[in-house]
Amino acid sequence: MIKLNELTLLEAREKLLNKEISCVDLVTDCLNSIESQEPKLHAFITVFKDEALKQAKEFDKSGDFSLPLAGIPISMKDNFLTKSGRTTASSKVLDQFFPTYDATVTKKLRDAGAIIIGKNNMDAWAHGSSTETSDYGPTHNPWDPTKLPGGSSGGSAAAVASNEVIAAIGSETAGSIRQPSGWCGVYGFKPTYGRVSRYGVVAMGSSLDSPGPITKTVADSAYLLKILAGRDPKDATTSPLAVPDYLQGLALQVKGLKIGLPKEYFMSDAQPRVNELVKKSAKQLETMGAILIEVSLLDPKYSIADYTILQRSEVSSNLARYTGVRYGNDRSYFGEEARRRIMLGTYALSSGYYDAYYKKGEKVRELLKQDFNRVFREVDIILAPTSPTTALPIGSTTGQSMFGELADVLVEASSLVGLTGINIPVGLLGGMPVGAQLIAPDFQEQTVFNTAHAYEHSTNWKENKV
Amino acid sequence: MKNSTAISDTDFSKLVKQANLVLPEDQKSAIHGQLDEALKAVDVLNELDTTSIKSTTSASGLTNVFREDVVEPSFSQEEALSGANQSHAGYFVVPAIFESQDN
Repeated sequence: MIKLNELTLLEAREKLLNKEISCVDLVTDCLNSIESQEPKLHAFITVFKDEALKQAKEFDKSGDFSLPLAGIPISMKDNFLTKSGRTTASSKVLDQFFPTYDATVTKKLRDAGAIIIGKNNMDAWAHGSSTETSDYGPTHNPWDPTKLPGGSSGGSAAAVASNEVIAAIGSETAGSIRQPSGWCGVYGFKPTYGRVSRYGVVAMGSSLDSPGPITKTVADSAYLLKILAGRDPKDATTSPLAVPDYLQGLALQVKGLKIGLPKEYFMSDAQPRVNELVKKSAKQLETMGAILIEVSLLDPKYSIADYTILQRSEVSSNLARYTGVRYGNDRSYFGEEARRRIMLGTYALSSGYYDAYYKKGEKVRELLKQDFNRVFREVDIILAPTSPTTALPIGSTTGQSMFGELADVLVEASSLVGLTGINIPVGLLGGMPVGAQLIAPDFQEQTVFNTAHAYEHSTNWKENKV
Repeated sequence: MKNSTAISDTDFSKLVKQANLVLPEDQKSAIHGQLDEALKAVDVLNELDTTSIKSTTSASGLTNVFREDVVEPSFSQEEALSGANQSHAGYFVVPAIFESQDN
């Protein structure tokens, strides 16, 4: 018999609705999976065991599973505020922070009946691409515990990949959903900036932060996004556009879809055979009727530099509020990476340097936008590797102040422009997952879902081994 | 490597103060070095001509998002103070910013 923690979200939902399984059994299987794997993985900072079981019992007692996520155990990255539930953002500054309110995403999940089973480890303040900068120690990759899971939503991606949970929520500023999903072999969806509310998410780069789902299937992501998305009066940057029913809109159809392959993203110094596996996934879509077109985008080295300036600037501003007065510990608790980022951002925003750094950064951001707009006149969607390598060994970030930017080299440009995208696993290289990313224009989430869904159903990615 | 640094020691100390950080003595030179390294890395942007390009501050493209100024229930004083290390008579206790006249 299948362990219930191994179910996808939609499978678990159907079984709960049909009374084939009990909610207590579902939650218990997840809790057991967490308990047995955590010593090896460390994907969680906090587990709400008693509360989760209590909610599960209530669901079983009422027998009412009509809410869209009724009784589904979901974990959240630890930068989403959970009322009365410890929220650290993996920083010792917030070691004993118990928020007085829920993030909008948290509230939407609760209102939909989800059981928030715990909070996932992450890079402290989401500063990184390894989950190794967590003040609570790194998360380990479920495929090989000597490897990193990626980051910053590394705990969320590892928890889904290891079936500790049914699904998880991550957040992406530049790659923090897609890159760990790539390294852990799961589906990680980055919505268009403004599609999902940032209210109550520990702020990192406010002009970039995008919460999104990390799941076992594309359909699960499509289902979750509809619940998470929408205008929020508490976040003025959310879009007033109506939220479509992405799951209902899912189609396996890619005939005539123009897929752009940016030649600069298939880097010559990528890990050998990563590009090969990603190109194979493009070929697979071609056999289903998609049209492959080679395109050219600005060299990703510019987006690394641009992101470094803009993100550090926003970080220095956002982290200025942590003084230890209203809540949390004082500023001496900031870790090394946060200090580095605050310093660089303060410099880039300081009088006399603002024009040379921040203002230049904003202009390059516009250039990147124009660059993508030009390509999207030719193609419907872009396909490229998510990361130039598979998961790197634990310890790789030591002394590497630009590690995150190098691991995220292929996802930063689309984040700066605010575009939507996904990581889809496309094969195994030396036993480690390789991910491809799909990038689409603003609010074309459905195109992303459909293309990913079509690929997912055309092949068993775990059999594409090199 | 000292002579290749972009930021002088004096400016670095000023920056630490602006950033409201206290850096451990043994980490200062490493962080200073990494800062210079990062500034050197972002120099690559100067290869791009942006003279006729306007700035983009946000990816959303939304402007002037207004709402009615409606009074809604908010946190109680107790809730607002629940995370504070120190409070007094319903207020946050903050570090003094003025020196007393005796000094």
